[in-house]
Amino acid sequence: MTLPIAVRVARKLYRALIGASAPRFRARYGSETLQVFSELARERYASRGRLAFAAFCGAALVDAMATACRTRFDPRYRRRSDALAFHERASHAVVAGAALLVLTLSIGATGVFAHFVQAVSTATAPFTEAGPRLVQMGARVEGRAGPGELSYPEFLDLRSGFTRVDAIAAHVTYNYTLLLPERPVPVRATLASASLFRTLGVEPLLGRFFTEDEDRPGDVSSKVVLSERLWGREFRGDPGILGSSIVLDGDTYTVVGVAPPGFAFPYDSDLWTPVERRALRNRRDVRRYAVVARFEPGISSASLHRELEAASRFLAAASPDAAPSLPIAARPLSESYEERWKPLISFAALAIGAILIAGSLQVQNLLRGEHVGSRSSVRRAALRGLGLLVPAAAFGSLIAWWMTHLQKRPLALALPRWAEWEFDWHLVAAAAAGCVATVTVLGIAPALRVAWTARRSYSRTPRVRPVMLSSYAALSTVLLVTGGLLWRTLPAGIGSSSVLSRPDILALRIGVSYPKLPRNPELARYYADILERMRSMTGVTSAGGATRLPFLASDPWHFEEISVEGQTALDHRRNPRASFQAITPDYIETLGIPIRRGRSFTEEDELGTERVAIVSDSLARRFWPGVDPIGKRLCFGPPSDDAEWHRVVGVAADVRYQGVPLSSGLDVYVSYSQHNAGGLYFVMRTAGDAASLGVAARQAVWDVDAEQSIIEVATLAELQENVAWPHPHGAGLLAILAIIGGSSTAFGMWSLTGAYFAGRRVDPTGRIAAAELVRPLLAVLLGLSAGLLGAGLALPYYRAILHESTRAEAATFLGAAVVVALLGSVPLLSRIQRHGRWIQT
Amino acid sequence: MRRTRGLSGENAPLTTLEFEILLALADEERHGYGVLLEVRERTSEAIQLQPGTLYRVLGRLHDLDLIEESEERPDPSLDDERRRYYRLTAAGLGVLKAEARRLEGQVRAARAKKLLPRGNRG
Repeated sequence: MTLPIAVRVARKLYRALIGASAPRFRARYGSETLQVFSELARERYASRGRLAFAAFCGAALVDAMATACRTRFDPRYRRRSDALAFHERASHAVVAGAALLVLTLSIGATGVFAHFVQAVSTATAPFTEAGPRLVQMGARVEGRAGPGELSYPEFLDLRSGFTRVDAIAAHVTYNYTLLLPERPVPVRATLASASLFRTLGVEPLLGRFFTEDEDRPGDVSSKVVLSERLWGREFRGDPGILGSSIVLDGDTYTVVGVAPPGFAFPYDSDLWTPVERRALRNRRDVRRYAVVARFEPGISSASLHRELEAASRFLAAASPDAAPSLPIAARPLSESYEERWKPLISFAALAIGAILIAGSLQVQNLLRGEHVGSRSSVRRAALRGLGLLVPAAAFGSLIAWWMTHLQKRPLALALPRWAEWEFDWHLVAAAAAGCVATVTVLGIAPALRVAWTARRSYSRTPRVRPVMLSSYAALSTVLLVTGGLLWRTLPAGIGSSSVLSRPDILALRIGVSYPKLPRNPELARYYADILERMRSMTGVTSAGGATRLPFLASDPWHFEEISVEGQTALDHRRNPRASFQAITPDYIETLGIPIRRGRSFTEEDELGTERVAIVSDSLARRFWPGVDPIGKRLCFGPPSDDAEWHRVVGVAADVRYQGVPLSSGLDVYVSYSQHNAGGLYFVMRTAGDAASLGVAARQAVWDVDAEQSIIEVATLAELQENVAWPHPHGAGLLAILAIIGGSSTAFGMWSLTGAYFAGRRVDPTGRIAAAELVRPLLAVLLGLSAGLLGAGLALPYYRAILHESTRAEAATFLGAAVVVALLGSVPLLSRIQRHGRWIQT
Repeated sequence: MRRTRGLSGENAPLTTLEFEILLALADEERHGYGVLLEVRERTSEAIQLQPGTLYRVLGRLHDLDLIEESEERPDPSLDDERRRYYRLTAAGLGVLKAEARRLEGQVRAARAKKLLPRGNRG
């Protein structure tokens, strides 16, 4: 309805005068006052004539001026409403600080994450000239994403089965001890067919790679190619290294070349040797070779598919019935790197995204707390938003630089190009811009919209909707669960699992070259003597030995293909591989690995008695679901009458021998006395300071064999710092980030609850008062449930990269739920206490 | 001198405007304009509240917990959603009754002193 011009003018004047009243009064009653004035003015104008209208307007305008003055001096309108006062006095600074911290950490983490993604996506860059034609291939194993490994004879057959392959190579990693004059150095080697470098299309930095002639059975003039990193670190970049000899595990090798900088194929190799020495190259049933091939230029995916089918048929025809082959599968080599890190990338992306959203909501909450109903509120909210974003972007970028430039090791990834990976400010700038855009869209823009809507309408402080409380509860739950799981997973004893490393366990690795030692039982006795000396050391409560230690087993020799009684040779080919440890009787007790069923090994489990095995929980469930595995039998390799069958005598908790994200939890322990399994790691559980017993531990070895070289002595926690991921620092940083994000979001519910009640009045009859309090409580509980559900759905991601421990998972979920429920309900309960007398009436 | 009143309000007189507004809300919930009209009609325009004054007093009564906003709304077709409805709280009702009794006593005293004719009880 169009108002007469006189009424409109009077309305404008009245609005201006009411606009001069105290902001609190204006926000609470401004729009209603104006509305009542308009109705009265219209009525007077229409029914009582212009004189009465003028008189009314005069009186009303004087009244408005009086209202402006009186409210300005009224102490009730000089302070905010109680909810806003609480928000302002008690938590405004805390919320602002928490929002700034969360934003800064989010931007920093996103900058690091961008580097991480780039490192993974460019992992194959040194040999990308082959592009998508460069594929990883192998057996198509059910339940496995990528191609499985092949045996060397299978690789040789496969090589003949293709017609459009330019080059094809096989490789396997191996851990050697490089014997330098001053000390032994553990190195990571790749045993490869001579065609590897040609297949990948790389050129040596110095010298040459080994040739086909140097990769034949019987060739004893062992050659080695060093990585540029090892060459620089251990040989000071000496160009005269070519032609000189080095000793690996007691064997002499001639250095023929140095690889180009950054080349560490497949992941973090220090050197490459031909496969002729150790590669079990004649065993068709031992499949440990990864195969990489380069196809002809311009090959279509259909042609590639036909090639694979032809090769599969060729291989099947060449394979004996006892060791049947599986169809051949292939995928671009780059995908193998991406798949390796996919769970971690997904996990980190989810965690960082959740933290960023939490930060955005906190910013929104903070800016919504700005007084509305004044014209300057929009400008003030915008300035405050900028005041948060600018320092957060600056400090976040600084953190990203610090992490990627100075703290590279904690973030170490097993990637071919990690060593040459450098801080890239373009990535950090892009990450910061993305974060700023997210916070602007999710945090600042909604708050500005509220301020803009309210700037002239004198409406009350905008209400916080229950969905906002739910979002806070859900996000904080997810983040607390994430942080808690990561934290509990950390090695070095700060985690919860007793099967992870602890600082009270001392580990010692000797530089033994086992082919030069006598075989069992002499070898077992040699180790038993050393262990006996170790047990007699003051401060050592138990000592044992194993061929691999948790988190430190990353070579393919650590795995065995197993068969269980009743399976066929084809079943065996489809079985997942299990990690394999030969251990001494006290190893399980020393490391504190829980025995779930059956028994551990004893001294009676020696050569000449029935071979025994202990399996992990996961392996027992995989192969004997719902059945007691004690007494069942398994063997390594395809099942046959002459296979060496092991009787299962115990079930132990899962241990992540390979670290994460690679471990499957399928572990088999065998008695060291019954196997010729090579060198041992010694572990000693100590009552006091494990690190101080290093000298005594060395002496215990030398008491038995004065010539025995010792590679390293360190606590298990220290050794595990060298694992690729999760490095304790890297995982710890992500855990801390998630916990800070989750906690600040949970605490944010406190101030949000205050804002929720701003403008809401509580009914004295009790019925509606209870409803007013129950509604946000329900919102918090709903959000909490959604958060638990979301975290539960993400559990496969967690499990893919974290140590699996059901009890730890349950405890973490419960802990996060309790924290969020408490922080979400305490402010509501305090409201109930404040309004208790109303509820009681 | 600033007056202070507790919720009991037994010995604390209300101002005329406060009393009139509470009285307007005694029988039903009203929005601000409704309060204004009710007071004007009941007092035969002797008291004509201005909007600013009305809401200052409403704010004061609200802060004293004598009135509160009502969540219940009339039929949407009859309602203007911008309006807020007010009603007495239990405390407000108590204060209003106490003030009415006090005024009744005053009227009795005025009659006793023959300032008012007897039998003129409404």
